[in-house]
Amino acid sequence: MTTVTQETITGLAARAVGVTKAYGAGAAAVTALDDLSVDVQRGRFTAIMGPSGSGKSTLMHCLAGLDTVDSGEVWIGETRLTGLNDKGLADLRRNRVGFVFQQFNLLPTLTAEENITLPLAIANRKPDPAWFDTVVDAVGLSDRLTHRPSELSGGQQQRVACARALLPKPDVIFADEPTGNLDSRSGNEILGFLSRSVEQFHQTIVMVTHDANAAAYADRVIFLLDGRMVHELHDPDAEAVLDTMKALDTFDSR
Amino acid sequence: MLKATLKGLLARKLRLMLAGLAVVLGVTAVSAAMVTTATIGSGFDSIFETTTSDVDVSVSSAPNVGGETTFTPPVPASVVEELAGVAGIDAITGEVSADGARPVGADGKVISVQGPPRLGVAWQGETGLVELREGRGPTADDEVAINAGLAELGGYRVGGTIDVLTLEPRTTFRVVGVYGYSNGTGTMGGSTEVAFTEPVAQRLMLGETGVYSSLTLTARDTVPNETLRDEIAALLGDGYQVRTGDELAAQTAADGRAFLDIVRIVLLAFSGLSLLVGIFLILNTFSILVAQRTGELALVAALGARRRQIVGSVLVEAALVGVLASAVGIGLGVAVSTGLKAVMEAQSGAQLPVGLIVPVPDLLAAFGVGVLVTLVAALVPALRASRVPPVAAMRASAAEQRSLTRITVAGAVPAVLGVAGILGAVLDVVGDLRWAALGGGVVLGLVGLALLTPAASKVLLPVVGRLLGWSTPGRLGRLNAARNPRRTAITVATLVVTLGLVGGVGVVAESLRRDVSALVSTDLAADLVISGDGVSARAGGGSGGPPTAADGRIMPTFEASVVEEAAGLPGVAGATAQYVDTVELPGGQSPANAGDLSTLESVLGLKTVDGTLRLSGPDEIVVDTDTLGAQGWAVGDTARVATQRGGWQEYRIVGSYEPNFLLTGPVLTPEAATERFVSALPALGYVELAPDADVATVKAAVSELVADNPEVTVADQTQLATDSASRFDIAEIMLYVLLGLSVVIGILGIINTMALSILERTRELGLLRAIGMRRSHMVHMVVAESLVMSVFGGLLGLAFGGLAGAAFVSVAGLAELAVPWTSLAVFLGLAVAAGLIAALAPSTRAAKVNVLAAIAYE
Repeated sequence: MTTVTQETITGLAARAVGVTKAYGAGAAAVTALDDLSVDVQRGRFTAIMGPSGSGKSTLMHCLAGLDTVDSGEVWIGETRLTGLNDKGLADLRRNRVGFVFQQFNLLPTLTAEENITLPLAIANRKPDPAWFDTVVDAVGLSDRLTHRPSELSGGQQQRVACARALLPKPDVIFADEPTGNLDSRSGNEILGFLSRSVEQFHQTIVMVTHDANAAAYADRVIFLLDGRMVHELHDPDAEAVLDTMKALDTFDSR
Repeated sequence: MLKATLKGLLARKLRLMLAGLAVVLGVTAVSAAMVTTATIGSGFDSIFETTTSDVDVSVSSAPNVGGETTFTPPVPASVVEELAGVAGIDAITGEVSADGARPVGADGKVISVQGPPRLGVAWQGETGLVELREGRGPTADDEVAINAGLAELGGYRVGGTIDVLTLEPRTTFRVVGVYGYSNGTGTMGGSTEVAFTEPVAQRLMLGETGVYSSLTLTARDTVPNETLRDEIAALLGDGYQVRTGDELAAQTAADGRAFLDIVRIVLLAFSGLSLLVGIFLILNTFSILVAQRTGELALVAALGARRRQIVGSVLVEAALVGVLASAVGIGLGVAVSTGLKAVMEAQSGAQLPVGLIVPVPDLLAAFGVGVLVTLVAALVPALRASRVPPVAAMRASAAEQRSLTRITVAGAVPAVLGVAGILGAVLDVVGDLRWAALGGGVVLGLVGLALLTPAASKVLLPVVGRLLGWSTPGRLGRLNAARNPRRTAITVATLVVTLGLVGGVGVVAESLRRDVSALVSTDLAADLVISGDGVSARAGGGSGGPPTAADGRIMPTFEASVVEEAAGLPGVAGATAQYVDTVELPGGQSPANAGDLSTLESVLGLKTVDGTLRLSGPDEIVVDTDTLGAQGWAVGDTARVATQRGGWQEYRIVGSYEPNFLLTGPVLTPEAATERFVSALPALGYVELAPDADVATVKAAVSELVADNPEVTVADQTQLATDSASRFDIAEIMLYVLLGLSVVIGILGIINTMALSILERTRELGLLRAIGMRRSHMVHMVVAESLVMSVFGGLLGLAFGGLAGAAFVSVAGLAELAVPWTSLAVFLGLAVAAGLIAALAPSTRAAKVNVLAAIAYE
């Protein structure tokens, strides 16, 4: 918690302030996020970890404007998401947020290239050709652009999704278990690409994962338990992450 | 297995309801047709049994022309004396009762009833059947009694007057009595009655005094009716028809029921159409349901279910839908019949003395048809379900894309044959078989089209889509529409069939209309035509040729003096009259005309082929060359012709003419017509104007001459052409209404497919929302998909129908191919509207997709 202030000079890409989110009502109510505050530094690769039900996906959904919060505020850059209407949220997701999901990332009717440029196309914008080439080269898809998703391997599909997220130069890319459906080699390729895009293009990335190896690619790992942040690591290796996970029960979330 | 099926059924209530709706509509129409026909038919039977309850045996003349519904010549009073000696007869009454007494209402228009006759009768006092309600019977020539139904329709009262058109021109009578019938009704099956004194009735209704329309005999108690009938038939010979009261009732009721056929045909046509469409709808729904449940079915197969069980489970589901839909349909059908009965009673003023008759066997048949249609339509999807391999359960999603090669090859064969057939007919290389080639070609072409639609959708959908949407959501919608060509094909099948019919009928009807108008204006040299309502509209008869009185009803006519007076008007160069009727030739019925040929020749543009077109007496005729050929006659021959009143007589053929649109068949002298045609008055009058005369002024002056006859109007050439062409209108409109209804059903099909597609693509929709599509974008995308499909279907149908119609026009040898662009555009618009309406619910649903739920992992 003490290290956060160092990064404020470079600015925050996203932040959650005192966010609470509960599902259900009455006795069945489950508190997914419990007065949680998190800052996401610009140009950094942040991983969110925690056991099932710890609230890590909910946090990501709230940060990305996919879900609303019960109380507290969520910001992307200088924009407060809390209170934006559906149209505002949609436009924000299109222009300032990128997504990589675990699966069903692509539209089967479109070619790889069309999938990559889809968010821009929805906004009636043309991609910058040089930047497009850079991104496509970075994910190594130059010779696959005319293929449809059904003609691509799982790893290739996920790389298309990464390129799609990167192309509009969003404030933040949210990756939700991006390697969950991949073999380890393809998974490592994706993670390598994500960390390179942070280093080379100063892209901000937030990744939810339960895989310690994946988390080890991040600059910073946040650990959640019962909707609260209980620990964080900076530039960790896989072993440190694993150890923290094992010991997570001993942290007091209160 | 059955339990699982039932549970599945409940889970898909809405979807199956949509599928069942077409079956409901179809069965409703069938059962309404059955119940209505049975009810009204039995009502008529009951009415006419009452009418003829006093009749033991009836004697009337055999008609000279045609079947039993046409004009029967009067029975001379001498026959009564001839029969006086027959021992079995207790009493003989001469009846005068004929259709054609047209009362003129207070608004100056003739009172019209739909279907039932307008009878003119001779008053016979209060019989067992007739009961005076007010006043008395007529005793003087200018007095009449009328039935209560007519009194009510026209607002006539005892002490007032009534104008009646009969074989003679409009005449005014004093109403001295109003009567009803012993069964309490004021009309028999809706017919109006005017009762004159006997001589007046004979003159006005039968054309001469001292004759009867029929004789009613009462048999002595010991003599059976049949015995008396046979005895009298033998006595009178061939010229008379002798029938028992029961036979007469059956015949009369059958005549009265003839108009019921129209109702029946309309309802059955609609039901056929909606059941046909229903097949597509059910096929589509079940295909999609099966595709959706591939995983489930594979699991069941993996658990050891046999193919037969899987087919069975799908069919049980279909059977339940069919049973439910058919049951609802029959219920609705009975309800509709109740409504139809009320409407008909209100329209005709006739109370049917029966309740609703429900013909159970017919309804069971309708029920069976409904269930069967559902089962047949579900069979293909059921078989497909049984072929799902157990391993499909282990795969993430079933590969829906099956190759289109087989279906395309299968479609190409009938398509090529069909096109060959049509071309053969159009290019006239198949000779007499051209109609068969055309019909077969169109049917094969349609089959081919159905099978080729999936492949066509691949090529055409992008084209159509590009016309409709350039934005990204629009493009996504178009791509979605092209996603599953088979499904798209089945979905649009209804629209293809419907708009195909519209296109074909539209082109043919428009071309016919143009053709008829053109013929009327080329053949007719007259500037004005005087004719009764419906006469000019029938100009040309059924297949060309002049108007005929073949339906046996009295044609509106006017006095011959009108034409003479018109000829004397300023600005008129000449005027002539045409008498019209139907005659019997040795080879069958033919239209017949009469008039002054010296004037008719130029007015109708007749071309003399042989001999002369001048008749010197009532026993000379001229005949058109077609009829000459058909009868094997030649100019100079003596020909036998039976006229309505004159019967078989010999005529000398003095000349022949080239038949044209306005005139075919034998032409007699006006003198012969006055004596031998049903009506002694002309039905058509032609007026030629002087070169400098003003059409409007002369038309007004001529109209003045027929002002007192509400049935007769004066038309100029344009009106006549329009009138003649308008006879296709009603049939066309009726068809369009039917097809409009099937477009509605087509909407259901699109809704169905769209709703299912949305369901299948929930995750994709979630993804699209996540990467920044607005709700409005989602609506746009779904609407685009729906529109692309409906416009594709519409265009495909219109194109096919239009081409088939053009082929028909060409084979039929019509002068001009006319395309009714407006109607076609309207129907394409309807298809677009169908697409929009169908997208309403699914697009709302797509817009409301919960992003989180959609992208959540399982």
